[in-house]
Amino acid sequence: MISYQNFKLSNGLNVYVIENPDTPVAVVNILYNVGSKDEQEDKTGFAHLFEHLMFGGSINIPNYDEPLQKVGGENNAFTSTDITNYYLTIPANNLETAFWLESDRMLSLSFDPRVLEVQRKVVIEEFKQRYLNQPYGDVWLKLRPLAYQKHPYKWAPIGKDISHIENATLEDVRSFFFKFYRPNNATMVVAGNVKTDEVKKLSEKWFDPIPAGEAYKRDLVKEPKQLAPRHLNLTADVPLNAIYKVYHMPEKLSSGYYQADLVGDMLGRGNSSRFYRQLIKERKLFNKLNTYITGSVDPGLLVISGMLNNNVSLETADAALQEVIDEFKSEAIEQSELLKVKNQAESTLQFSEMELLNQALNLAFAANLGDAELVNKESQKIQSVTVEEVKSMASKVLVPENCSTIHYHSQN
Amino acid sequence: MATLDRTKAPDFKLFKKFDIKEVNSLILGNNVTLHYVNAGDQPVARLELIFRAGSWYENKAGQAYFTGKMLKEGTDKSDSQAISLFFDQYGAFLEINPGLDQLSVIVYGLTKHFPVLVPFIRTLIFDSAFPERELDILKNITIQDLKVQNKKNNVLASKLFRTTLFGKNHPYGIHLEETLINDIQSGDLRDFHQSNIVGNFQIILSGKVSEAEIKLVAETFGDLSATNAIQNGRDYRLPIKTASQTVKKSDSLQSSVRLGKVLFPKKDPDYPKFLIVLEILGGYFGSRLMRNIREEKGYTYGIHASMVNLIKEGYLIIGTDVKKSFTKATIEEIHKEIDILQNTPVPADELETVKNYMLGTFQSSITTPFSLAEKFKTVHFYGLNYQFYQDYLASIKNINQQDIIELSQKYLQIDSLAQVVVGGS
Repeated sequence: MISYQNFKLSNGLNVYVIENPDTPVAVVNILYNVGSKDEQEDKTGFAHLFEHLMFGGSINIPNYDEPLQKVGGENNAFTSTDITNYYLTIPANNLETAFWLESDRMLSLSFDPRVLEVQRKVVIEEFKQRYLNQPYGDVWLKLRPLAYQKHPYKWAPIGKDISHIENATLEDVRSFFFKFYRPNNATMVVAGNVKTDEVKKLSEKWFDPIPAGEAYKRDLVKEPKQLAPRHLNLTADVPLNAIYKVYHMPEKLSSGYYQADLVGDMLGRGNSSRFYRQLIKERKLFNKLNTYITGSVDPGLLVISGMLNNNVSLETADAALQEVIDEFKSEAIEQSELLKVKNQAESTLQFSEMELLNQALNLAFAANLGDAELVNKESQKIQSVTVEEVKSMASKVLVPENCSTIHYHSQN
Repeated sequence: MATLDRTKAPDFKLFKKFDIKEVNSLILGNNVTLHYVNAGDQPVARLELIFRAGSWYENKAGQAYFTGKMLKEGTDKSDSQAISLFFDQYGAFLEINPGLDQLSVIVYGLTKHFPVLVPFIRTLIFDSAFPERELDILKNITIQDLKVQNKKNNVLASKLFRTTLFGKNHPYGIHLEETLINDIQSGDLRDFHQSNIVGNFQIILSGKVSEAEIKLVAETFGDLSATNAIQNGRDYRLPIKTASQTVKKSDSLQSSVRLGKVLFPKKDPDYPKFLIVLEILGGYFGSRLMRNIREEKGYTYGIHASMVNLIKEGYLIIGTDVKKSFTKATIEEIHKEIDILQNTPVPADELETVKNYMLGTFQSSITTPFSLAEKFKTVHFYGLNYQFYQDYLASIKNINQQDIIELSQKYLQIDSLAQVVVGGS
């Protein structure tokens, strides 16, 4: 249970405070309501490139990191398909330094062309390190456009192609900033050894003078219902054959989201799951099998990925996955199996909330979805799922015509 | 109202003191020690058992790894499936970490489930059955996974680097290979279990724990016969010559580069001060290597310098994945940055930043109950105690420019560094 206070500045910046007097530190989390799904299809990877540029100096402060480090703070950021999130931890008595730094980069960046040149290279190396120079590293670059034909989830946050990053101009950067990095398109959470009054005073001092931007109206194209199975074969110099199956599932704000999440858990979470028992232990077809959801705001994917044992064909493995899925759909499900995955989900939530940073991020994320209180409803939503709902979700989602499959062949 | 001057940084304060909540230690009837720390708001806890059962103590390569991993694959009463179902149904997580020095077995769970989890952990560890069928499956999974891991340049580089430093005859220089794995038999595991696991452990309990959980753990593990005998306390020689290795991969886009050397275990009096030297060189985002090679040149996504602390030895590792054509230039720049550290005083402003940054991150590293348990482990098992942290903080406050020059000259001679490149140039 997270208790918080909330206020809004005149420019639309939405601020939340979690008071926790037991820690000596404070956390500041600023979520900008922009992810890779807000990019143009010919300029992908931009939200993420932009995240790098946010550390390249702002209008009045030449360097972001150094002054923060000088007062004992540390920071990082990440970009997803839905959001771009910046967070820092700082000794609580130096909180004002965080406000100074964060408000200046929300006011305006320096737009220094050298920063763009260097970060472009850094991001290209990141692209290679994570996606191209790893076995199976490119699989999500192929899976997304297979599963999504219209919705911008069809490209990954790193971008569709390196050339988009190579071609980004300073003008692109400037217009992106003033479109998305406005106070009325952001949510700030301040947590830790802080008082709401103090946060309010500091917010008014540092953030209130920043002008609001034009309201960003998100109008994304909906992904049409998939009507037939999709299949892609890839071959590369990888040691083992691998298989990836993704199924469209409900959006974050629907009750079906948690149902689908639990369906995935029952199939593949942990060593007592159906996949692990039957396909790794009994039939010895796979040596690794994971089931998880992409967790996105708009309708996301339920993912099954597995590494095959030597001498097992992709066809055999795929058919075996299907058998377990069919059995799951057709047989009665015991209450105890559902209870098990609920308990797993519940304790994962508890462990995650041990970290102040996670509390702040989860609250910012919920607020950005439109209802901060969602942060305290997650547990209840998981607990309320019934066996019948799980069954009906499984028969809706886990059908071949809703599935995109990649067979990743080892060329060895 | 006065205009806001955004060019001027607000005033700041530094912390005067740090309160590290320490563990309490209880010696049980059988001489096993239980360390515990009660902290945190969430109703969760973590029970960790630490055995002197790392690969250091093996007679046969792979014994330690497989003995550890097989603990969850069957006991006299429960088979592998029953064991995983047991943890999963309580939403508990079992983690088995076989290391070079120690084997650690951890269970995370809601505190309310500890009355069933704790006795179960006892049977897992002490009534292990090592079933052949499960061992065969695990060996196969391990071999397949090894193939995938060895395809990653960064993994290969780190492994090769450790072998280069310690040699193939030193337990720190050996890695699991397919032939070694195939050679492991359940008898090897039973032997190792008998010699290094039964009766040879310490316990760390952390999280939201009350008298009841402490008593439960003490009673559960306090009546096992414990010997605490040290097995296989050997001495090994390190290779004398500094080596350099390159593995060419024509299809790689990047090279994984590793530079470093064996230095000293944590007990060494220079260790805390040397950490500050490394921080300046490559320990944080504002470090010299990061600024030069990432933020000025854009050769890489990241570059880091750090110490790897093992119980008997500690080694320095400078590591990065760089664009292949910049491999040579990157190594030259690393040498150049070391040279500057050895010959030019660190500017006062930079030193102040590093010091404050290290103090601040130390403070935020002691905020959860599990991190408090970690803080204890990372001194206790290295022959140190909490005084280490006072020394560390004092070193940060007191180190000066001359100390940094001297330490860099003493420990970072460029021709003493081993080098591994996987990729090419």
